[in-house]
Amino acid sequence: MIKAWEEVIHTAIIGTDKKQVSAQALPEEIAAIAERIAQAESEHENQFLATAAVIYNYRRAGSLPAEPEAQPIEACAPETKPYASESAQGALRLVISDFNQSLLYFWLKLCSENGMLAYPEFVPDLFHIAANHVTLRELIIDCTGERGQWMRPFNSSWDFKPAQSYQQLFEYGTTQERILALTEWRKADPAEALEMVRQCWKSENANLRAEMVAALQTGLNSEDNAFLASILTDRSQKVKEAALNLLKQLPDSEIVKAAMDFVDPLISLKKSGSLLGLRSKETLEINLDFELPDTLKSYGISDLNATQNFSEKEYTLDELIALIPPDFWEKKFEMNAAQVLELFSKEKQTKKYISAFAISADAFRNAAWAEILFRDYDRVCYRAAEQFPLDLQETLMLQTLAQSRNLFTMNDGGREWTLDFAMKVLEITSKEPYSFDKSYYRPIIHQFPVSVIEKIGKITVEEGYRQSHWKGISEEIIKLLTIKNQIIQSF
Amino acid sequence: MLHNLNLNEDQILTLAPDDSSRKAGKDLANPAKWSNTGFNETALWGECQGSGKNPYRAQVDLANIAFKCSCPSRKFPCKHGLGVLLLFARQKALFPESESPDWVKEWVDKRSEKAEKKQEKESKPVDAEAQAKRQQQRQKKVDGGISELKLVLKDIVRNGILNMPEKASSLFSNLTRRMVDSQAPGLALMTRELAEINYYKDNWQTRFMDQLLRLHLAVTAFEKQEMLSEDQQEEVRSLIGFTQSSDELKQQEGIADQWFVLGKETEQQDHLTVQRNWLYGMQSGKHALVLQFYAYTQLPELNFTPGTALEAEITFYKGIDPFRAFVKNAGKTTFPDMLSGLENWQAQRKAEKALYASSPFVGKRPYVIQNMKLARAEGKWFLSDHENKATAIVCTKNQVHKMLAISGGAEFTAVLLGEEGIFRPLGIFIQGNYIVL
Repeated sequence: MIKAWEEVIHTAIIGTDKKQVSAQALPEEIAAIAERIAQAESEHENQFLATAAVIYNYRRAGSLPAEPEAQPIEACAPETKPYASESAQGALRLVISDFNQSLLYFWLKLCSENGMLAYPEFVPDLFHIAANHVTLRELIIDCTGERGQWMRPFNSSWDFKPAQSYQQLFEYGTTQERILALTEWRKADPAEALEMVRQCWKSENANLRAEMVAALQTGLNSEDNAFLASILTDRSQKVKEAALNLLKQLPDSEIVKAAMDFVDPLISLKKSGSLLGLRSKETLEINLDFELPDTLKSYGISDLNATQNFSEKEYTLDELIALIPPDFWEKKFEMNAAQVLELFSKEKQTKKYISAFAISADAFRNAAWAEILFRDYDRVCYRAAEQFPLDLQETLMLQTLAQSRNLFTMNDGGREWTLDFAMKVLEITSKEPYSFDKSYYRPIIHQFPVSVIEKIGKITVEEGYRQSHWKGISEEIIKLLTIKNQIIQSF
Repeated sequence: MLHNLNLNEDQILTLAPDDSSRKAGKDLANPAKWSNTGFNETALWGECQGSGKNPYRAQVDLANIAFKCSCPSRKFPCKHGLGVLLLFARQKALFPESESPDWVKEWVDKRSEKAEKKQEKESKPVDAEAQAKRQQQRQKKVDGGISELKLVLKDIVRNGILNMPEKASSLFSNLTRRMVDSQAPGLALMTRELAEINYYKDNWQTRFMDQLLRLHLAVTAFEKQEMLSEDQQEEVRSLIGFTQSSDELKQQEGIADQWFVLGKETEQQDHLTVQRNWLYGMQSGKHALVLQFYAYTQLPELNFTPGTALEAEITFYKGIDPFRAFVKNAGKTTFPDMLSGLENWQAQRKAEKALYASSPFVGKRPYVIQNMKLARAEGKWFLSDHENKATAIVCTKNQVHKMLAISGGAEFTAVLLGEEGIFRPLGIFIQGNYIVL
């Protein structure tokens, strides 16, 4: 029958002006019918249409399509963990359908901690998310159980490997995965991770080398000195800059030591006696008559820059002070941090170096100096501030938010805020709804406590376009927090 | 809970008239937007604050899944109707069980009255003479259209179809217009299908010739109606465009059954929305296709939700193997937890061949086949039965993943739509649930 139909197509392509259906191509019973048609119809076109119609019907009613044998795929193993509740699954559905990474992470974490699973229907969507969000992979694999494991081979983009070992992921992962693995590895074993970087160094391109160096920020310690110093001669400027950036944070690096040695004799404390010897006056003497040695120039310190506030030499000194750990000055002057800073801020000529101390306190994560600099000198050391007590952290965050419209969040593992702090944040952000729109809150919603739902209506915004815009935003916040609450109640 | 409304989100979203309504409905499924919500056995409701002073009142008739809203939207259902139903499905706790407020009770009562009045309404007396004259005129036009069509068909086969990819669009668009002018809408639909073939896909020649030959058979059979049986005549006349009126269908005896909604699809044809609803009688085992036509601003008369069943009496348009159907009396919606069908592929083939043997005009049909498992060979996906006989299925990656995820490789009942070995899945029934694909 297939041959007969092919004959129909062939004839149709060429046209009945030039060709007729050949009887040889037809099965016997159809050939007999075609013969009768030829006798009944005089025109070739009508003969063809009638014969083709018969073959069409025979094909449809009389022939069977090929029936290959195909072995069914092996069924999935039964789950060993229970599914999360219906309510939890409902919340997951909401989080996936209007994708929110913050709430998804929240859901997955709770699900994993409770030893439960997402419904099978969510597996394809969760894997699609896992393919694009490396940080969620482990949790997604955990929360999809046997069904997830069984499904992964059916889509090549789901064939991501869980981090069974940092080394495996570092060796075989994508660039993003390798950097992530390196960062996590540095948390667990900085020396081992550094050794991996050393081993693959020569075979990697400049961009990746620079990224790997930047990743060494995690777990940075004095053991890294030798390697970082050795790559200062790398042909890539990016690599050199990344290495220098890290060396400036290590108190025993050559650059820091060189800066300390050079600056030490330039700044001295002069004590002058007073009347009756009762009170001595302490002043700083700064010697600006210096020539910057080549070693320091080679680290990028400049001796040619000047600004409105700094002469060339002052500028250079400022750069050098920023390289020196703050506790150097405490030992040098036998004073505490507050006293050193007070000393420098006495005179106009020395007060200008306060900012350099802030840079140094930040680089060396000196929380004591950072706290004084923030409270008394209005200088912010963001990295050192991660060690601030909670109330001071929150004060800093609110100040940054109000000043720069940027909610700087501490590296606090995404902890949930207090209601009081959350409301203070909203008091600030609600006034600028176009700067702090819905997309602003979505990635950080997990940090808002659900109790905000009850209080958010009390925030007032001036009439007009801001008010209507804020209304939409507050509804979105309520919606997301309602989902968060549903997640909490479900586990 | 008094009412067992068990619609899932996917099923609710199939009720949306378009994508933007789906999105807007989802956005409105937000507790912050709703107040005074509630439900009972007959309805669910809520008030949604819009931009105006008074909130919009949205309500859903749960017995027949119908919507009403006080907003000015011309879409149906509007985003508020979808939003309140989605919210109910997601967070039932937000809807206290209570007596309907007056504005809900009024509407539900009115709907019952309207349904009763519709049944009692008598048809207007017909002017027989005028009708006969109109029919004669129409017959003349149709005959003219058919003559023209036959000439075109002969031209095509005489010259050959090699250049059809370049010519098809304008040739058949013009021909379609001519068939519309000739008052032969059935022929217009068939010629339009020739224009819509993808001539850049493999095997277009077979698709083209299949449709051409169906056209040829339809017009030839129409001209020789006297040689046909009554059923065959009805079939052919329907193909040309002489369809039965709804009044006639209402007079016919129907089949009362629980009609499982296997699938639903809509498409735009000019300024009309055409909705196809494939139904399956759970006792009778009969298949039915209910077509609904409505303008963009209007609503379809009935809401069919795949995976639910409608208790209804259905009558069929006359023909050789009646398939197109009309809902004579619609009852309540139910939620079946099982679906039986054909045993295996052999049974499906037998059923399909029987249809083709009875009529050359049978197109794609739905088939419900039990005991199916997913199989893979040569990079393609198959559905395999107990004897490991398999047929490839045409489906998207997402559909395959959904079937894999839900079934885990276990057996399910498949609902397929297709013909001659080319099938696509509409849904699967597994563990008491119907999953729309």
